[in-house]
Amino acid sequence: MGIISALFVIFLTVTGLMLNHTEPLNLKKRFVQNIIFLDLYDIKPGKEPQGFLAANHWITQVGERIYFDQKELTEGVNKLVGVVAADEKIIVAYDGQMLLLTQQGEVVEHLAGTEGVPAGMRAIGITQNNDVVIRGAHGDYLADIESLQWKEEEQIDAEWSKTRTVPKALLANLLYLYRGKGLPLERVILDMHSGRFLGGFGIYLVDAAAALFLLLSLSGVWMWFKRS
Amino acid sequence: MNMKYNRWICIPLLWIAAGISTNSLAKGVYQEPQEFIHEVFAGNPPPASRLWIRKDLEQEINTILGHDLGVLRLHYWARDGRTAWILEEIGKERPITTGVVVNQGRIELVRILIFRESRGWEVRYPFFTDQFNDAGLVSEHKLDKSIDGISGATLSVNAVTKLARLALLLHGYIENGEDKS
Repeated sequence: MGIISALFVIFLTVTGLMLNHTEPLNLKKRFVQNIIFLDLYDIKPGKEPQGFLAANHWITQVGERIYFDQKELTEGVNKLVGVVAADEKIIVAYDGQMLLLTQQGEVVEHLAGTEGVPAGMRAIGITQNNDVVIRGAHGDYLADIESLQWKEEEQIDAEWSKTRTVPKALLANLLYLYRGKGLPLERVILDMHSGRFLGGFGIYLVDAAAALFLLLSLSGVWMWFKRS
Repeated sequence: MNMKYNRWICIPLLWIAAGISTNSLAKGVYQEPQEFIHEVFAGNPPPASRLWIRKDLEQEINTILGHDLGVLRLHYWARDGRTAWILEEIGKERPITTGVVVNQGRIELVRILIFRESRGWEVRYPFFTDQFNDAGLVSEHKLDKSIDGISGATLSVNAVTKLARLALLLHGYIENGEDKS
Protein backbone atom coordinates (compact mmCIF):
# COMPACT_ATOMS: atom_id res chain seq x y z
CA MET A 1 0.00 0.00 0.00
CA GLY A 2 2.92 2.32 0.84
CA ILE A 3 4.60 1.73 -2.55
CA ILE A 4 1.37 2.36 -4.47
CA SER A 5 0.84 5.52 -2.45
CA ALA A 6 4.39 6.67 -3.10
CA LEU A 7 3.96 6.18 -6.86
CA PHE A 8 0.75 8.23 -6.79
CA VAL A 9 2.38 10.94 -4.71
CA ILE A 10 5.31 11.19 -7.14
CA PHE A 11 2.97 11.30 -10.15
CA LEU A 12 0.64 13.90 -8.67
CA THR A 13 3.53 16.01 -7.38
CA VAL A 14 5.32 16.08 -10.74
CA THR A 15 2.16 16.87 -12.74
CA GLY A 16 1.08 19.41 -10.09
CA LEU A 17 4.44 21.17 -10.24
CA MET A 18 4.24 21.30 -14.04
CA LEU A 19 0.74 22.81 -13.91
CA ASN A 20 1.91 25.34 -11.36
CA HIS A 21 4.49 26.57 -13.87
CA THR A 22 2.44 26.50 -17.07
CA GLU A 23 3.75 29.86 -18.32
CA PRO A 24 7.53 29.29 -18.00
CA LEU A 25 7.17 25.72 -19.30
CA ASN A 26 5.05 27.11 -22.16
CA LEU A 27 2.59 24.23 -21.77
CA LYS A 28 -0.26 26.09 -23.49
CA LYS A 29 1.76 26.58 -26.66
CA ARG A 30 3.41 23.17 -26.81
CA PHE A 31 1.26 20.68 -28.61
CA VAL A 32 0.96 16.92 -28.45
CA GLN A 33 1.86 15.33 -31.79
CA ASN A 34 1.24 11.69 -30.89
CA ILE A 35 -1.51 10.27 -33.10
CA ILE A 36 -2.83 7.96 -30.37
CA PHE A 37 -3.38 10.92 -28.05
CA LEU A 38 -4.90 13.01 -30.86
CA ASP A 39 -7.33 10.19 -31.69
CA LEU A 40 -8.12 9.68 -28.02
CA TYR A 41 -9.09 13.35 -27.70
CA ASP A 42 -10.88 13.23 -31.07
CA ILE A 43 -8.91 16.23 -32.37
CA LYS A 44 -10.28 17.00 -35.83
CA PRO A 45 -11.83 19.96 -37.66
CA GLY A 46 -15.48 20.58 -36.83
CA LYS A 47 -16.50 20.66 -40.50
CA GLU A 48 -15.26 19.45 -43.86
CA PRO A 49 -12.17 21.33 -45.18
CA GLN A 50 -12.93 23.77 -48.02
CA GLY A 51 -10.31 24.39 -50.70
CA PHE A 52 -9.95 27.07 -53.39
CA LEU A 53 -7.39 27.13 -56.17
CA ALA A 54 -5.86 30.44 -57.30
CA ALA A 55 -2.66 31.05 -59.28
CA ASN A 56 -1.76 27.37 -58.85
CA HIS A 57 -1.90 27.60 -55.06
CA TRP A 58 -4.39 25.92 -52.77
CA ILE A 59 -6.00 28.07 -50.12
CA THR A 60 -7.80 25.77 -47.73
CA GLN A 61 -9.87 26.23 -44.62
CA VAL A 62 -9.35 23.46 -42.09
CA GLY A 63 -11.38 24.01 -38.96
CA GLU A 64 -10.93 27.66 -37.98
CA ARG A 65 -7.60 28.00 -39.80
CA ILE A 66 -6.72 29.02 -43.35
CA TYR A 67 -3.67 27.60 -45.09
CA PHE A 68 -1.78 28.80 -48.16
CA ASP A 69 -0.66 25.46 -49.57
CA GLN A 70 0.79 24.09 -46.32
CA LYS A 71 1.56 27.40 -44.60
CA GLU A 72 -0.88 28.64 -41.98
CA LEU A 73 -2.16 32.11 -42.87
CA THR A 74 -4.60 32.94 -40.11
CA GLU A 75 -6.85 31.40 -37.49
CA GLY A 76 -10.15 32.15 -35.83
CA VAL A 77 -11.92 32.01 -39.19
CA ASN A 78 -15.58 31.16 -39.40
CA LYS A 79 -16.03 30.89 -43.19
CA LEU A 80 -13.63 31.11 -46.09
CA VAL A 81 -15.75 32.79 -48.78
CA GLY A 82 -13.46 32.46 -51.79
CA VAL A 83 -10.10 33.22 -53.36
CA VAL A 84 -9.17 35.02 -56.59
CA ALA A 85 -5.92 35.93 -58.31
CA ALA A 86 -5.55 39.40 -59.82
CA ASP A 87 -2.61 41.67 -60.67
CA GLU A 88 -0.04 39.13 -59.45
CA LYS A 89 -1.74 39.06 -56.06
CA ILE A 90 -3.96 36.49 -54.43
CA ILE A 91 -7.01 37.80 -52.58
CA VAL A 92 -8.49 35.65 -49.84
CA ALA A 93 -12.00 36.59 -48.66
CA TYR A 94 -13.37 35.41 -45.29
CA ASP A 95 -15.67 36.67 -42.52
CA GLY A 96 -16.06 40.18 -43.97
CA GLN A 97 -12.30 40.50 -44.27
CA MET A 98 -9.69 40.03 -46.97
CA LEU A 99 -6.05 39.05 -47.05
CA LEU A 100 -3.94 40.31 -49.90
CA LEU A 101 -1.10 37.87 -50.59
CA THR A 102 1.92 37.77 -52.82
CA GLN A 103 2.15 34.72 -55.03
CA GLN A 104 4.64 33.32 -52.51
CA GLY A 105 2.00 33.48 -49.78
CA GLU A 106 3.37 36.51 -47.91
CA VAL A 107 0.60 38.65 -46.39
CA VAL A 108 0.79 42.09 -48.00
CA GLU A 109 -2.11 43.49 -46.02
CA HIS A 110 -5.28 42.76 -44.17
CA LEU A 111 -8.47 44.54 -45.23
CA ALA A 112 -11.70 44.79 -43.22
CA GLY A 113 -14.67 47.10 -42.72
CA THR A 114 -12.37 50.02 -41.83
CA GLU A 115 -10.91 49.81 -45.33
CA GLY A 116 -14.39 49.64 -46.85
CA VAL A 117 -14.78 45.90 -47.43
CA PRO A 118 -18.53 45.54 -48.12
CA ALA A 119 -20.60 44.14 -45.27
CA GLY A 120 -21.98 40.62 -45.47
CA MET A 121 -19.51 39.41 -48.09
CA ARG A 122 -20.96 36.23 -49.61
CA ALA A 123 -18.80 35.66 -52.68
CA ILE A 124 -15.73 36.92 -54.49
CA GLY A 125 -15.13 36.70 -58.21
CA ILE A 126 -13.30 38.11 -61.14
CA THR A 127 -14.65 39.80 -64.28
CA GLN A 128 -13.45 39.26 -67.84
CA ASN A 129 -11.41 42.48 -67.44
CA ASN A 130 -9.66 40.95 -64.43
CA ASP A 131 -11.45 43.21 -61.93
CA VAL A 132 -12.22 41.86 -58.49
CA VAL A 133 -15.91 41.65 -57.61
CA ILE A 134 -17.47 41.26 -54.18
CA ARG A 135 -21.02 40.08 -53.63
CA GLY A 136 -22.10 41.67 -50.36
CA ALA A 137 -25.32 41.69 -48.37
CA HIS A 138 -26.56 44.78 -50.24
CA GLY A 139 -25.37 44.03 -53.78
CA ASP A 140 -22.33 43.59 -55.99
CA TYR A 141 -19.23 45.76 -55.73
CA LEU A 142 -16.42 46.32 -58.19
CA ALA A 143 -13.32 46.43 -56.01
CA ASP A 144 -10.17 48.38 -56.68
CA ILE A 145 -7.94 46.92 -53.99
CA GLU A 146 -5.01 49.30 -54.57
CA SER A 147 -7.03 52.48 -54.17
CA LEU A 148 -9.53 50.87 -51.77
CA GLN A 149 -12.51 51.85 -53.91
CA TRP A 150 -15.67 49.75 -53.73
CA LYS A 151 -18.11 50.71 -56.47
CA GLU A 152 -21.63 49.34 -56.08
CA GLU A 153 -23.24 48.06 -59.28
CA GLU A 154 -26.26 46.05 -60.32
CA GLN A 155 -25.61 42.30 -60.70
CA ILE A 156 -22.04 42.11 -62.02
CA ASP A 157 -21.27 39.28 -64.38
CA ALA A 158 -18.24 37.50 -63.00
CA GLU A 159 -16.59 34.13 -62.55
CA TRP A 160 -17.27 33.47 -58.89
CA SER A 161 -14.74 31.61 -56.81
CA LYS A 162 -15.87 28.06 -56.08
CA THR A 163 -14.61 25.31 -53.81
CA ARG A 164 -12.67 22.48 -55.40
CA THR A 165 -11.66 19.06 -54.27
CA VAL A 166 -8.36 19.41 -52.45
CA PRO A 167 -5.76 16.80 -53.55
CA LYS A 168 -5.71 13.90 -51.11
CA ALA A 169 -2.01 14.18 -50.27
CA LEU A 170 -2.31 17.90 -49.48
CA LEU A 171 -5.45 17.34 -47.44
CA ALA A 172 -3.75 14.61 -45.41
CA ASN A 173 -0.83 16.96 -44.68
CA LEU A 174 -3.16 19.81 -43.74
CA LEU A 175 -5.13 17.58 -41.37
CA TYR A 176 -1.85 16.45 -39.82
CA LEU A 177 -0.78 20.10 -39.37
CA TYR A 178 -4.19 21.05 -38.00
CA ARG A 179 -4.31 18.20 -35.52
CA GLY A 180 -0.72 18.93 -34.48
CA LYS A 181 -1.85 22.30 -33.14
CA GLY A 182 -5.05 21.07 -31.58
CA LEU A 183 -4.03 19.52 -28.28
CA PRO A 184 -1.97 21.65 -25.87
CA LEU A 185 0.30 19.73 -23.50
CA GLU A 186 -1.33 21.59 -20.59
CA ARG A 187 -4.67 19.90 -21.25
CA VAL A 188 -3.18 16.40 -21.22
CA ILE A 189 -1.21 17.04 -18.01
CA LEU A 190 -4.27 18.58 -16.38
CA ASP A 191 -6.35 15.54 -17.32
CA MET A 192 -3.64 13.19 -16.05
CA HIS A 193 -3.41 15.12 -12.79
CA SER A 194 -7.17 15.02 -12.21
CA GLY A 195 -7.56 11.45 -13.47
CA ARG A 196 -9.92 12.53 -16.31
CA PHE A 197 -7.44 11.10 -18.80
CA LEU A 198 -8.87 7.66 -17.97
CA GLY A 199 -12.46 8.90 -18.19
CA GLY A 200 -14.93 8.59 -15.29
CA PHE A 201 -12.94 5.67 -13.87
CA GLY A 202 -9.80 7.87 -13.60
CA ILE A 203 -11.56 10.39 -11.36
CA TYR A 204 -12.54 7.62 -8.96
CA LEU A 205 -8.98 6.25 -9.14
CA VAL A 206 -7.56 9.64 -8.06
CA ASP A 207 -10.29 9.82 -5.37
CA ALA A 208 -9.18 6.38 -4.15
CA ALA A 209 -5.54 7.56 -4.11
CA ALA A 210 -6.56 10.63 -2.09
CA ALA A 211 -8.45 8.39 0.36
CA LEU A 212 -5.33 6.22 0.58
CA PHE A 213 -3.18 9.25 1.46
CA LEU A 214 -5.69 10.24 4.11
CA LEU A 215 -5.69 6.74 5.56
CA LEU A 216 -1.86 6.62 5.61
CA SER A 217 -1.67 10.07 7.25
CA LEU A 218 -4.19 9.19 9.94
CA SER A 219 -2.70 5.76 10.62
CA GLY A 220 0.80 7.30 10.75
CA VAL A 221 -0.29 9.92 13.27
CA TRP A 222 -2.15 7.28 15.28
CA MET A 223 0.92 4.99 15.34
CA TRP A 224 3.16 7.87 16.35
CA PHE A 225 0.83 8.72 19.26
CA LYS A 226 0.67 5.06 20.29
CA ARG A 227 4.47 4.72 20.40
CA SER A 228 5.02 7.93 22.27
CA MET B 1 -36.89 26.10 3.79
CA ASN B 2 -35.43 28.10 6.64
CA MET B 3 -34.27 31.65 5.78
CA LYS B 4 -30.84 30.95 7.27
CA TYR B 5 -30.26 28.05 4.85
CA ASN B 6 -31.70 30.04 1.95
CA ARG B 7 -29.04 32.67 2.51
CA TRP B 8 -26.25 30.08 2.46
CA ILE B 9 -27.48 28.73 -0.85
CA CYS B 10 -28.49 31.99 -2.53
CA ILE B 11 -25.35 34.03 -1.83
CA PRO B 12 -22.90 31.57 -3.47
CA LEU B 13 -25.31 31.05 -6.38
CA LEU B 14 -25.54 34.80 -6.97
CA TRP B 15 -21.77 35.01 -6.72
CA ILE B 16 -21.34 32.30 -9.38
CA ALA B 17 -24.01 33.87 -11.62
CA ALA B 18 -22.34 37.28 -11.33
CA GLY B 19 -18.97 35.73 -12.19
CA ILE B 20 -20.35 33.95 -15.24
CA SER B 21 -22.21 37.00 -16.53
CA THR B 22 -19.16 39.26 -15.98
CA ASN B 23 -17.01 36.85 -17.94
CA SER B 24 -19.49 36.60 -20.80
CA LEU B 25 -19.77 40.40 -20.96
CA ALA B 26 -15.99 40.77 -20.89
CA LYS B 27 -15.26 39.21 -24.28
CA GLY B 28 -16.50 40.70 -27.51
CA VAL B 29 -16.66 43.67 -29.81
CA TYR B 30 -16.82 46.85 -27.73
CA GLN B 31 -16.72 49.09 -30.78
CA GLU B 32 -16.43 48.22 -34.47
CA PRO B 33 -13.10 49.52 -35.84
CA GLN B 34 -14.86 51.52 -38.58
CA GLU B 35 -17.05 53.22 -35.95
CA PHE B 36 -13.92 54.13 -34.03
CA ILE B 37 -12.34 55.73 -37.12
CA HIS B 38 -15.59 57.63 -37.83
CA GLU B 39 -15.78 58.88 -34.27
CA VAL B 40 -12.14 59.97 -34.17
CA PHE B 41 -12.57 62.07 -37.31
CA ALA B 42 -15.99 63.43 -36.31
CA GLY B 43 -17.89 61.38 -38.88
CA ASN B 44 -15.73 62.46 -41.80
CA PRO B 45 -12.69 60.17 -41.91
CA PRO B 46 -9.94 60.69 -44.47
CA PRO B 47 -9.26 57.85 -46.90
CA ALA B 48 -6.99 55.13 -45.53
CA SER B 49 -3.29 55.62 -46.18
CA ARG B 50 -0.72 52.86 -46.48
CA LEU B 51 2.59 52.43 -44.75
CA TRP B 52 5.04 49.93 -46.22
CA ILE B 53 6.95 48.09 -43.52
CA ARG B 54 10.53 48.44 -44.69
CA LYS B 55 13.45 46.50 -43.23
CA ASP B 56 14.60 49.32 -40.93
CA LEU B 57 11.08 49.85 -39.60
CA GLU B 58 10.55 46.12 -39.24
CA GLN B 59 13.57 45.88 -36.95
CA GLU B 60 12.23 48.68 -34.76
CA ILE B 61 8.80 47.03 -34.65
CA ASN B 62 10.53 43.84 -33.57
CA THR B 63 12.16 45.59 -30.63
CA ILE B 64 8.72 46.66 -29.39
CA LEU B 65 6.61 43.60 -30.13
CA GLY B 66 9.27 40.91 -30.03
CA HIS B 67 8.03 39.66 -33.40
CA ASP B 68 7.18 41.13 -36.80
CA LEU B 69 3.75 42.40 -37.78
CA GLY B 70 3.09 39.62 -40.26
CA VAL B 71 2.07 42.07 -43.00
CA LEU B 72 4.06 44.01 -45.58
CA ARG B 73 1.94 47.15 -45.29
CA LEU B 74 -0.37 48.74 -42.76
CA HIS B 75 -3.32 51.09 -43.07
CA TYR B 76 -3.72 54.27 -41.09
CA TRP B 77 -5.85 57.36 -41.22
CA ALA B 78 -4.20 60.79 -41.09
CA ARG B 79 -5.34 64.42 -41.02
CA ASP B 80 -3.83 67.62 -39.61
CA GLY B 81 -0.97 65.96 -37.75
CA ARG B 82 -3.23 63.29 -36.24
CA THR B 83 -2.99 59.64 -37.14
CA ALA B 84 -5.34 56.81 -36.17
CA TRP B 85 -4.28 53.18 -36.05
CA ILE B 86 -6.09 49.90 -35.66
CA LEU B 87 -3.53 47.50 -34.24
CA GLU B 88 -3.58 44.00 -32.80
CA GLU B 89 -1.39 42.16 -30.34
CA ILE B 90 -1.87 38.90 -28.51
CA GLY B 91 -2.30 39.21 -24.75
CA LYS B 92 -2.18 35.59 -23.71
CA GLU B 93 -3.65 33.58 -26.55
CA ARG B 94 -5.86 35.76 -28.70
CA PRO B 95 -5.33 39.18 -30.33
CA ILE B 96 -6.61 42.34 -28.68
CA THR B 97 -7.77 44.85 -31.31
CA THR B 98 -6.94 48.36 -30.19
CA GLY B 99 -7.54 51.79 -31.67
CA VAL B 100 -4.83 54.38 -31.02
CA VAL B 101 -4.87 58.05 -32.01
CA VAL B 102 -1.60 59.99 -32.03
CA ASN B 103 -1.57 63.78 -32.25
CA GLN B 104 1.71 65.66 -32.85
CA GLY B 105 3.75 62.75 -31.48
CA ARG B 106 1.68 62.27 -28.32
CA ILE B 107 -1.09 59.78 -27.64
CA GLU B 108 -4.51 61.34 -27.75
CA LEU B 109 -6.62 58.23 -27.29
CA VAL B 110 -6.28 54.50 -26.66
CA ARG B 111 -9.40 52.35 -26.87
CA ILE B 112 -9.86 48.59 -26.75
CA LEU B 113 -12.15 47.69 -29.64
CA ILE B 114 -12.27 43.88 -29.67
CA PHE B 115 -11.26 41.65 -26.78
CA ARG B 116 -11.06 37.90 -27.37
CA GLU B 117 -9.20 36.62 -24.31
CA SER B 118 -10.92 35.01 -21.34
CA ARG B 119 -8.99 37.13 -18.80
CA GLY B 120 -7.54 40.59 -18.57
CA TRP B 121 -10.53 42.44 -20.07
CA GLU B 122 -10.18 45.15 -17.39
CA VAL B 123 -7.82 46.91 -19.82
CA ARG B 124 -10.91 48.14 -21.65
CA TYR B 125 -11.80 50.59 -18.88
CA PRO B 126 -10.81 54.27 -19.12
CA PHE B 127 -9.07 54.09 -15.71
CA PHE B 128 -6.44 52.05 -17.57
CA THR B 129 -6.51 53.44 -21.13
CA ASP B 130 -6.56 57.10 -20.00
CA GLN B 131 -3.12 56.59 -18.51
CA PHE B 132 -1.70 56.64 -22.05
CA ASN B 133 -3.07 60.10 -22.81
CA ASP B 134 -0.31 62.55 -23.70
CA ALA B 135 2.39 59.85 -23.58
CA GLY B 136 5.29 60.12 -26.01
CA LEU B 137 8.32 58.02 -26.82
CA VAL B 138 11.79 58.28 -25.33
CA SER B 139 14.89 56.22 -26.11
CA GLU B 140 14.51 52.51 -26.90
CA HIS B 141 10.88 53.19 -27.86
CA LYS B 142 9.79 53.38 -24.23
CA LEU B 143 6.90 55.56 -23.07
CA ASP B 144 7.84 58.77 -21.27
CA LYS B 145 5.30 58.09 -18.52
CA SER B 146 4.73 55.04 -16.39
CA ILE B 147 1.62 52.93 -16.81
CA ASP B 148 0.14 51.25 -13.75
CA GLY B 149 -0.66 47.59 -14.30
CA ILE B 150 -3.77 45.68 -13.31
CA SER B 151 -3.33 42.59 -11.17
CA GLY B 152 -4.50 39.50 -13.04
CA ALA B 153 -4.30 41.31 -16.38
CA THR B 154 -0.53 41.63 -16.79
CA LEU B 155 -0.37 40.10 -20.27
CA SER B 156 -3.22 42.28 -21.58
CA VAL B 157 -1.61 45.37 -20.02
CA ASN B 158 1.70 44.49 -21.70
CA ALA B 159 -0.02 43.95 -25.06
CA VAL B 160 -1.85 47.31 -24.97
CA THR B 161 1.30 49.10 -23.82
CA LYS B 162 3.22 47.59 -26.75
CA LEU B 163 0.52 48.79 -29.16
CA ALA B 164 0.67 52.32 -27.75
CA ARG B 165 4.45 52.34 -28.25
CA LEU B 166 4.02 50.90 -31.74
CA ALA B 167 1.51 53.58 -32.76
CA LEU B 168 3.91 56.30 -31.56
CA LEU B 169 6.76 54.70 -33.49
CA LEU B 170 4.70 54.46 -36.69
CA HIS B 171 3.40 58.02 -36.29
CA GLY B 172 6.97 59.29 -35.85
CA TYR B 173 8.06 57.36 -38.92
CA ILE B 174 5.41 59.09 -41.00
CA GLU B 175 5.88 62.50 -39.36
CA ASN B 176 9.60 62.40 -40.16
CA GLY B 177 8.84 61.43 -43.74
CA GLU B 178 10.87 58.24 -43.41
CA ASP B 179 8.13 56.33 -45.20
CA LYS B 180 8.86 58.40 -48.30
CA SER B 181 12.68 58.46 -48.10
